Amino acid sequence: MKQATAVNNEPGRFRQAMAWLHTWGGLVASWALFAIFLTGTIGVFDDDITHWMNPERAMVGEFDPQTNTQQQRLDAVTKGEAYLRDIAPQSHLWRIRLPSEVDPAIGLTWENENEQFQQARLHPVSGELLTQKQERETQGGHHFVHMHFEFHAGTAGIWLVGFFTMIMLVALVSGIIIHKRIFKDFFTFRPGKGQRSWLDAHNASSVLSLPFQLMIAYTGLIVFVTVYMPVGVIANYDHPRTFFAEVFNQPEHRPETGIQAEVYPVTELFEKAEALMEKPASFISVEHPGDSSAVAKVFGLFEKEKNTGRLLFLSSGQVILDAVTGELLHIEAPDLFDKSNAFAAQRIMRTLHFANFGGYTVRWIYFILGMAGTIMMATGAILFMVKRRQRSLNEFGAQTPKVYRAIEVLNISAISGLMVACIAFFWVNRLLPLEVADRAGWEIKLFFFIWLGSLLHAALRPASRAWIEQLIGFAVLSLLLPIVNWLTTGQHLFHYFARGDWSNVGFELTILLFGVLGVFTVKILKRKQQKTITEANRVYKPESESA
Amino acid sequence: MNMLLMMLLGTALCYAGMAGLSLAMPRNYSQLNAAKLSARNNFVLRVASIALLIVSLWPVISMWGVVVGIVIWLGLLSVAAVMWVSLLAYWPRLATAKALGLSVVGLASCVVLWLC
Repeated sequence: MKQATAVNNEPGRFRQAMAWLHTWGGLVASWALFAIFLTGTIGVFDDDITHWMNPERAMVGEFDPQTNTQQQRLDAVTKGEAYLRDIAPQSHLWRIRLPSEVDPAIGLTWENENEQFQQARLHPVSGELLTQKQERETQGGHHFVHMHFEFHAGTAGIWLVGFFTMIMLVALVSGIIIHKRIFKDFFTFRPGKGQRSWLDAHNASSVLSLPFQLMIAYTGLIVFVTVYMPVGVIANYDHPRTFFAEVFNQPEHRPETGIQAEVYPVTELFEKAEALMEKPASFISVEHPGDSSAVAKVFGLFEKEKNTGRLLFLSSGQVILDAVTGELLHIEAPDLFDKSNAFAAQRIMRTLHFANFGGYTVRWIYFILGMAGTIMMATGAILFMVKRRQRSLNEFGAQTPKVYRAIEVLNISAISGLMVACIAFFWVNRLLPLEVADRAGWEIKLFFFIWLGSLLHAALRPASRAWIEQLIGFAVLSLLLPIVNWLTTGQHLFHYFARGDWSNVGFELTILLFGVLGVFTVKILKRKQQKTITEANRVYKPESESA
Repeated sequence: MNMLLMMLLGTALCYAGMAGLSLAMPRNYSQLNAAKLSARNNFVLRVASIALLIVSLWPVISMWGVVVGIVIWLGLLSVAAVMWVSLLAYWPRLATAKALGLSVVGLASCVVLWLC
């Protein structure tokens, strides 16, 4: 008899342990995970966002893929080469990116004497340097992508995101274990029922999108597999570059010799590479130009049609040349995949994570399911407090109210505060004067300042007021963004419609939709608050207004 | 155009299929109907929904191929379920009418496209 109860208790105790893990692990990670999810979801449309954030770019000229002649490409490389030879004759790296559909300018990147990356953009026809007056310097949609995988904090950020992603996987699995009615409640959402509704929303958003959530978390870790699991490489290879050369099936990176040597004409290298690949190229890099070890890499143009219906992309072709003698070092034939199976598996997961297959269909699916994940994080964090607001669980003894208050403040700024900061980022793009030095850097700094401001605001205001005020801020900023755009650049929705610029039409309509959703949320919150206040007044008489 | 059409078609059929599976559950059925879900209705709903979900594979696979098509289909299942649950909670009758309409229009479009 006694033994039977012990056995019966086993699953109950296991479930309880999992519930504890899910509650506290989830809460601690939810703030960071909300940020990772929201920015990652927005980042699905990074190219479209970059397009909207560069209103002057369309005036630089449009790139017509049909008239992408070899002469045009060689001219572009010559212009880039001349600029780089002049500004950075001795460098670790030169890169010349040719005009493309995404960006009509010639893009140049190089390392200066302090080994810092520098960038410049040249007009595709005149070859003149595009100044900040002609084209705003902006971080564009990349800001969201970088927030998503590294919090703009380099390798440390990548580790941090990996750590939270692991917690997310733990939370997903423990969440499945503690959800007793996973099938019975599969399609259940009962609004307007307080705590019950928050739990329903949390369950429905996670269960219905569960395959996506598991996939995106796992593939996210696999994207950085060599960062998160470096020991295999360290134990088996003298240098990581030997490992990468083997994985990429390419000759090893050549270390610098320190012997000066003239760079072979880059345009000729480019022409030679195109002839070897028998296809147009889109990108050339030169590693340590000016040194006798200089190597040029020429990358073939990515052809979308050839990869439709594939998760494992075929090589676009690549040629590696000695950048001193012009001699061929390696050629990777286009339209093949000639690497190991393990590498192929990693590449497929990368494609799955980056959503760069299947066009806009896949991007919208990822956007909607990413939002479901974002809602899962937010409702989880909010549910924690909703449960305890009614009746304290006294986990921290006398300190409990203080801890609850801190959690509430963090919830507000992590959720509504970040939403405000993301929309404000677009405002900053339009309002920050064009000639500010390091403009792209300031965009990001202001994003963080605004986010920090939301934390301050949440700490100074009563929680229920802070939620409503920040959501009002979000709604107003969203709804007015198209007007700010119109006042600052003269461009607006009808103009985009007329021009057939569907990317910008989609951007502004989506922002407006979120503004409208924000208004509804505020209305619901206000109505609820009114109700609780009147109820409180009825029961306790005036004094307890802080409910 | 073609891609947009196939995506909408796939979403419509997934939505109808998910709605059917949901209505085959007593709680969701009672949200819509005072009568209790009979065993026969339950069976019919399940079979019809599974059939709809299988048919919904066809537009996506014919557009994107087997590999990407199945990935997109899995995504659409989730998207359709999210759409259904949010509509059902606020406007159950509208949600159901939409499911019925979409299943008819969806199946008809599949037949037309198949014949053309």
